[in-house]
Amino acid sequence: MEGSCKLPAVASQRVKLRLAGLLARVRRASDAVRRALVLALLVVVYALVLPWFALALRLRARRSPGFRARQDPAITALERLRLPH
Amino acid sequence: MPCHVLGISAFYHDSAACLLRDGEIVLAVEEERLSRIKHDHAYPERAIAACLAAAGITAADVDTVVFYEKTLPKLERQLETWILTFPRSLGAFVRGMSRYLDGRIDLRRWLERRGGFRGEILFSEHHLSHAAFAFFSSPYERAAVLVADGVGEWATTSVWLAGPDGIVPEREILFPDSLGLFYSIITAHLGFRVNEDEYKVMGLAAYGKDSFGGEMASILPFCEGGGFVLKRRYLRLGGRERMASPALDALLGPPRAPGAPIEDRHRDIAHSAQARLEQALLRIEATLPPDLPLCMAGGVALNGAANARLARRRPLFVPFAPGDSGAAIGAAYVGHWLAGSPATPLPARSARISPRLGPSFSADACAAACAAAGLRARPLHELGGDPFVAEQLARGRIIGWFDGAMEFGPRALGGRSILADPRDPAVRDTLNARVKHREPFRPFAPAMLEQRATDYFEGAHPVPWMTEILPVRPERRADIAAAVHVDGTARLQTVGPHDAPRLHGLLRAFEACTGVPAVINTSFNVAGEPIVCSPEDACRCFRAAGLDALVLGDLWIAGADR
Repeated sequence: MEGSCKLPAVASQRVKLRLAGLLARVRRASDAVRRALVLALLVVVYALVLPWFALALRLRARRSPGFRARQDPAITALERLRLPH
Repeated sequence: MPCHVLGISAFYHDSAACLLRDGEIVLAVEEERLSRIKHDHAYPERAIAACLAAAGITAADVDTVVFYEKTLPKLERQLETWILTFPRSLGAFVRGMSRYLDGRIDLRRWLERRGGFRGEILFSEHHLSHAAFAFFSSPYERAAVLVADGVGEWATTSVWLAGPDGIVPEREILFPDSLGLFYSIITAHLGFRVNEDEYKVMGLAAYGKDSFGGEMASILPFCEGGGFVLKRRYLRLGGRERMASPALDALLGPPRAPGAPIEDRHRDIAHSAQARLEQALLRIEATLPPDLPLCMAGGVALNGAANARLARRRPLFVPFAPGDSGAAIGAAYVGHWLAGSPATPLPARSARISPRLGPSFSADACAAACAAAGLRARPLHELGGDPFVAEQLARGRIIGWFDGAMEFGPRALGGRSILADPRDPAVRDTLNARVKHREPFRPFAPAMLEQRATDYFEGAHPVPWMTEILPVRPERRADIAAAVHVDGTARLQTVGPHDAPRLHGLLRAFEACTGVPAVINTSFNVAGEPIVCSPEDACRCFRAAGLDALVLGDLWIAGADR
């Protein structure tokens, strides 16, 4: 039992070390390498994540067409203007 | 201590900055005029620097910076578009997200770091910025405000009520149902550039007939309450290529390749699209409170033909830069007049705002630019002043006109203009072929003495910023033949003594010479370049454009002296 508890802890320690090493290498890498890495990650996210959202969006009920009323007298309140959303 | 508010528009097209000091504009300028990149959408570093220099302050002295739109809802809309157009949107997703990941996703910190701002940073809504610019630069105490463009965050069309208590939204239509996008897909189908050549479609429309009315009704069906829908199957979003879908090609026929000859079918498509846009706007107008004048902004308000039809229904005000660059001024107004309202009393709007908000240059700077360009300049007053210029125009000379502060917005209104005699129809072809290098179907605008406009135009009223296209009286068309479009209309600029005093004087001198109180007024640039800003730009453009002469402040440079 003792051995089986220790194993994941050691493994997670190893993963942490490897990740830290990887991050350090990325930080030291040139701009071009870092840009390529971001690009690759974005492609991966695009290919793996977006299809599910696409499916969900297609299943979502369509909103009614035309004008929709908007009552928002606080639109220019300072607190609202401070927010980027 | 004066209060400084800086409005910024950026990252889509036509970046600009505007600095207010205690509510008055110190300087407003589009980035393209300084970077010399047409429709420059980059962070307006040069424009901001020019604003700060004009006020004699640094970025740290700015009390409030207002960005012209909300960044996160815009990202949300972009994400949804990319998701819905999976997998076509891969390129757009990677390009778009890379831009956000350079730190711009947290725009407040990005602006503090990049711009060195220490004050408050606010985010207006895109359509609120448009509405604020339209209302606060209008003469009205109360008004309905209609904003219509391609898209902001989510809203594409919005109605606002504005008055002494501020500006409040009333209703809106959301992306992708959009009049701007509708016009853009037609622009793309006709082989023109989206977000740039929409006015070519409007110019072409005058040559066609309404034979595609049914097809346009399928693309943009109307619904109750002035609403409309842009049918998704005709729209192709998310890709880098053209926005028109194969379904649109099936409906309207094969798309025109860029540069291909223009056929009658293309003219008819342009005509029917223009007619549909006008119907859509008139239907919205019919739903507005009947007792209120209308202010209008957003890119759709650049459509002078539609504006003229709206102006026949009720008093209409369209500002000189209704597109995204003008939203920088609107954002600054939001920061000064609306943030935390009603604490700040709203401004009295009796005096007409001037579009001459950009940099101006001294006589010494003009002389130095001439010398550096190797041009021989003579003092104009020694030749007889502006009456001499009028005489030269009457002799058929095409003249570059550089006077005072630069205009803000897409139109040259007497600060950075190319002027010509409107009586000779051949002038239009000469200008198109020799100077502007643009399509022969595109018309030129007349600048006319305000008090004489009713003699020449039906339903004339002051339109100092070329915001409306009006019918020319048939009996007067020959007098300004080079400025009259094929359908007998012209994009009028009325010039009063307070709008552009020197141009007003020139028009009076030209009338004394010729009996005609108008000249052709087109922007001082060549195709593909922004309007000139500095004397150096003017000298360079004068050399490149083959103008007959250049008026640079009080200097006269003849073409022979090039």
